[in-house]
Amino acid sequence: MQVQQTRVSNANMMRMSEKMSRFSWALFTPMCIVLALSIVVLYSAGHGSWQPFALSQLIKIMVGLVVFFFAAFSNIKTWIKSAYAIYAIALIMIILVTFVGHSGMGAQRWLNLGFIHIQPSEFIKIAFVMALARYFAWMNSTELTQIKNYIIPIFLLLVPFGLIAAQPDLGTALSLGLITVGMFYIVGAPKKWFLIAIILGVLAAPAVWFGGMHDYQRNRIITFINPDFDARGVGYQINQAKIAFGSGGVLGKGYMHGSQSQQSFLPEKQTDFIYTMLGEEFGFIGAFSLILIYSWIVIVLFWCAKTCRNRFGQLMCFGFMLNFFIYYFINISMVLGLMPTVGVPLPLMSFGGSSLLSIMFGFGLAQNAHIHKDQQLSAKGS
Amino acid sequence: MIDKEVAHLFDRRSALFLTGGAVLTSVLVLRMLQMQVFNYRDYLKKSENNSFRIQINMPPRGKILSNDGSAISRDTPIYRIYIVPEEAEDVDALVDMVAIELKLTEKRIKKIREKIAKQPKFQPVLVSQNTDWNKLAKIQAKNLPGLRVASGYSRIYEMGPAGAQFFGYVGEPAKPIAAAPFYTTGITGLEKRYNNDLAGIPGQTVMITNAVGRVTGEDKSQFVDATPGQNLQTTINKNVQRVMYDALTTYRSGCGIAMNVETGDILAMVSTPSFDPNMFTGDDGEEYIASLRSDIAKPFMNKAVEGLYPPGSTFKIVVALAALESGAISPTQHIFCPGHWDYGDRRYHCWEHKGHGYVNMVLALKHSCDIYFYQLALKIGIDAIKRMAVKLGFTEKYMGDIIAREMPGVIPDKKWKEKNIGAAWVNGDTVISGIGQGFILTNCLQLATMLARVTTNRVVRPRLILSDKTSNFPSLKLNEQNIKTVLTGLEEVTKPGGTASGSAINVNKMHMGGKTGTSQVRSISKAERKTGVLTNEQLKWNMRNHGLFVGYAPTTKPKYVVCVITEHSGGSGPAAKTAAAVMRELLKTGA
Repeated sequence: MQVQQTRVSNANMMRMSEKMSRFSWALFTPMCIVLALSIVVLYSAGHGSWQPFALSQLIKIMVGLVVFFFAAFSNIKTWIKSAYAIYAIALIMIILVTFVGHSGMGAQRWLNLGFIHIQPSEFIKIAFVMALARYFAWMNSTELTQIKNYIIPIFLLLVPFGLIAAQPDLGTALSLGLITVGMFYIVGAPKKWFLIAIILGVLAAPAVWFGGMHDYQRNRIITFINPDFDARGVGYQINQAKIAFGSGGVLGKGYMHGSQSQQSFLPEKQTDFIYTMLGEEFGFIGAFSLILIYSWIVIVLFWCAKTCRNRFGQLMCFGFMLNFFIYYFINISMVLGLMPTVGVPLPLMSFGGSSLLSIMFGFGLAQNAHIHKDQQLSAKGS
Repeated sequence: MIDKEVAHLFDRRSALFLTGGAVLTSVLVLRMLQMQVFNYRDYLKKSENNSFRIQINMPPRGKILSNDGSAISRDTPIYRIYIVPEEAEDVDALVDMVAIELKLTEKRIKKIREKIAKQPKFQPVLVSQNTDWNKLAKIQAKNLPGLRVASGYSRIYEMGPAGAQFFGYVGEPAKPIAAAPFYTTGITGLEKRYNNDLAGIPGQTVMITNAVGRVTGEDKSQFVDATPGQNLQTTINKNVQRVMYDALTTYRSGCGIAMNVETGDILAMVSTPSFDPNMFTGDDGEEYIASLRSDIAKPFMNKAVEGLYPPGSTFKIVVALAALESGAISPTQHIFCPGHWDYGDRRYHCWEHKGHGYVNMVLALKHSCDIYFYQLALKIGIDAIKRMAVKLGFTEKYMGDIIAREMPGVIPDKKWKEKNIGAAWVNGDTVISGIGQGFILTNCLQLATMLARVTTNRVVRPRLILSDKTSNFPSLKLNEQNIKTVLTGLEEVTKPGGTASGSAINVNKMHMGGKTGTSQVRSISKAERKTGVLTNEQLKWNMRNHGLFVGYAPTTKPKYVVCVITEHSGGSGPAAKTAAAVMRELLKTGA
């Protein structure tokens, strides 16, 4: 312990070669495997063509890698200092999208920057984790049980949560809520609070159902409970997805031979339902492999958190792990018919830039935390 | 570094996450096993059967109806026959066979062959778009590969050219929809304006196909019946519309409106020459459309609301009422007409060069004495004339919501002239405004509305769609005695000695009153003379005066007004005769 401290006494002094030697290949490798797989599947979604998805996604991955390496090799203190600012920027974008955003499928999620459409609700999840990590990092065990110390984090949650739920983007709002619960639990909030929260949640459900939901959201939930309720409309998508996935069998129908996906009976196959396409063409073997790789990433992130010797890095890694797990769990449950369709992409796989960039930025920061895991950090970021 | 207790807490609590994560991941894996391993066969079977081909079922389009509920434009079922070149064994032989069976013209066959050569082989080529059931059955009996039949609807326009400009017609949309070859949309007129109501909602039939795309059945659960379009009820009376059209086609070009003064219902609206949309889909459709486009009499223009004309002497009704209401003249007051009148440095002529002698208001209207109205106009001034004209409905758009190109026309005043002509208003302008010349421009519908307002003393507003609300028109608040004086003058017009004595009618002792008018489209003929585009013959026709007549009947209790404008007909005789024929029909049938 004493030896290590002298060796990396100051983050500013840490040399690039030293950072390189601490680089976690265990985190980087599975990420690259998933990204490569996404190009393979998107190529098939374009009916064996780089257009319109694969090439475009490849470019986004390149941008994502730049973001990843920048986040990974920068000074961790930069991120401590800027955590709140990043959160504020993401929140401003959410507010902007509420007023000048573009609509799609009845939800206002996209912000048009002229050359690119971005979905700020993806970035807020990363920014929110950073802000929480920054906020809780220097609290001792007593402070962590005092309810007044949770008022600010709850505000940090509620403002974007309200705006995103109103877009309406239930999937992202749900993710934000779950991340908050997970983070509060891991930092050490008293257990009885969670019990109270669960009871309140159950009581509030009818009010949400009748007051705060759009018809299409309600339909999705009804359809989930009874798929025959509206087979033509909402149920069609999930029925087709299940048929496509199930008919893949153990070995799959073969690359670019998924009859459901290729004949365009699978809607949104390149975005939210890409896992279905993977399952149809590569079967259980392919689908299960992806679960394994995802689990690998989750375990590595957890390990980064556990071994991190500064609290900021630990909480950030843990938050990104939560975000990533919730992300793919919601998506896969959804396409397998275990959950109502809420419109959440499959991380690192689905076509689209906002989710990809925010996930890769998060992984870059986790990598950064891992590189600086033996660093002693103060709240002032010095 | 990290507080020891905090670090402990992390270790203890993270166990829950690891357990939770493992359980949830197992749920996913079990679900995958269930779907892809245990229930694999069920899903595979569904997948094999579960490829769909969606067929769009077009609904019949709503009818455009006349005021008695009979169809003006309606859909009739038809079949279209296509050849899919790649499915045919011998395309040339197939075309020959179909050509004989359907009795296709040489031109049509040539076109089909050209298309087959040009288009991709999988794309269906339309062979016949108006095939009836008998012919279809004959061809289908031969069961030839490469033929595809689609059923749908075709539009029949019962009124043909009578009112085609505003009834409109349907056609293929700018971007045809491959899955719905019969999809049509309103291209012009009411068909376009009310397309959303008329079109209905397409349904779907979902055909289940196997892996090679062969139809193996229908997925009845996904069938959606088409919702037929809604009917559109107009105020048009088919008889009156036909009579007016037939009477107007005697002349080269013109337009007319017949209106019920109590409801404002437009019973007939005609513009000639016109076009017959039934001929657009025929074999010579393209040539027909080209010939229409090159016609200088503009068959696509609805002259009744889009055409602007100086109202000529019909405008004297407005000037007369304005003068009486202002008290500038009494009905019995006489003015002497020697055939001309010198004012300022100009001599103004009456159309009757011999002069009318002493005329009062009634006689001045009967004989359409220009001298009387020159002086009247000067006496009351342009502002009083404009006020009355606006009150009687000029410069207003009535069909703005329905007919996009309706022209509001011009009732000038000092400000208008300064702004649009860039010159100061002179008294001479007022003088010629008195006989409806100068800058005044009106359309046929406005003239009809004007007389409807005068005869009822109410703010009548014309309507074309029956569903539009009809309100009790508010009073115009004109002095009843003044209206009576003017109507007495108009009654005299069709009596012996009046300017329209040749168009008098007597249907069960019901008579027509009205006012004639002639006007020249000077600016247009000047411009056309300069460009020299037209042949001498056309130029002659173009230079002739327009004839106008606006009449009402019965004189005892006015119910109808008719306004007719015959372009370049020389005098107002043709217009008055046409109006008389229409009015006779109205009085006889009581539309």
